[in-house]
Amino acid sequence: MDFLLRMNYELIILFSLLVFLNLLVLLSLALLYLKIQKFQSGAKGIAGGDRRLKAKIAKDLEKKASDQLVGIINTYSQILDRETKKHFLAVADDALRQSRYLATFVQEQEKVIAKESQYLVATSVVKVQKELDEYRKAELAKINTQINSIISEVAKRVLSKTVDLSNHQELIMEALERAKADKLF
Amino acid sequence: MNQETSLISFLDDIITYGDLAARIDEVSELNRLLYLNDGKSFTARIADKISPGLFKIISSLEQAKQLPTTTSELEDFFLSLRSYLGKVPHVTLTLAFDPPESLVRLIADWFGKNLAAKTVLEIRVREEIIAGMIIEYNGKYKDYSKMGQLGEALRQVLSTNI
Repeated sequence: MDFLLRMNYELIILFSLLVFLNLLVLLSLALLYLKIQKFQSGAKGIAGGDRRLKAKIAKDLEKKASDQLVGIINTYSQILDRETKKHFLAVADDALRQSRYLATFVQEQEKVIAKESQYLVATSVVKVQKELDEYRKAELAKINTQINSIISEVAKRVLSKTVDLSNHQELIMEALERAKADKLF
Repeated sequence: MNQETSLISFLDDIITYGDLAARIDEVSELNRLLYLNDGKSFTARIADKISPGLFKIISSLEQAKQLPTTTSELEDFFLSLRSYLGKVPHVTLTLAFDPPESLVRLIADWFGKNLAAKTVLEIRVREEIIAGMIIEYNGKYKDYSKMGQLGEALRQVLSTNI
């Protein structure tokens, strides 16, 4: 986009230069015409002058005008050549610069995409690990609950019938002493 | 005897959290009875309206001239008493069976001997703990039950074998 804008800008400058040179040529031709008119009016003043002299002067003048015109056209042509070359060189430079910029941009984008891909993979791995941990914890909690209920059921069926009041009392007082030793109070 | 000593005497016969809750309710009732205008003295008015234990404490305080005499002073006293009773610490004990009173007294005596402050017992029953006791006190929890011990042993066996 930037490249196209720059090309348009260069073309406008070139077109303006051509218009300016055309105006310069027209101005030169107008000046030449005025010079011829002045000479012709001067020549009219020479009454009964020699026709041959007149013809020679006219021929010289014509040659001089032709030389001047050729000179102007040559100059114009040289300027045009130079400006055209300059313009195309600028355009070529610009194209090269844009090409390099694009190459660098593509490389950078490739790096960014690679980094983003790595990040996405890492994030997915972390997420999966977290889910696995949560699943593991939930399953362990379930196993714990099952263990407690199995123990409780077995105890109710078997052990509670074998523990009498004196055993209970002994275990309770023992628990109080252990709590005291554990600095619970 | 200062007011704090008077307030502590209201805990003499309190052992469980249920006893304490009932005592707080009775003190609220005492406040209501203060303004009952039946021509009787305060102690005569409350005699058949509160538990014998509380009546005995109030009577002994009155005899020792430790109980305020005017209605407004009594109101302040009972308000302070209610607030004091509400702040008494308690310990939650989970047992495998409903303990007989003798065992509850034994436990209460143990706390009386081993803890500086009066502590009331909140007793819960969970058969599945098998035997022993779970104790919760001041935000701390300790499982000294047989279920806890068995569970711990089983978890250790499983963790070494899985």
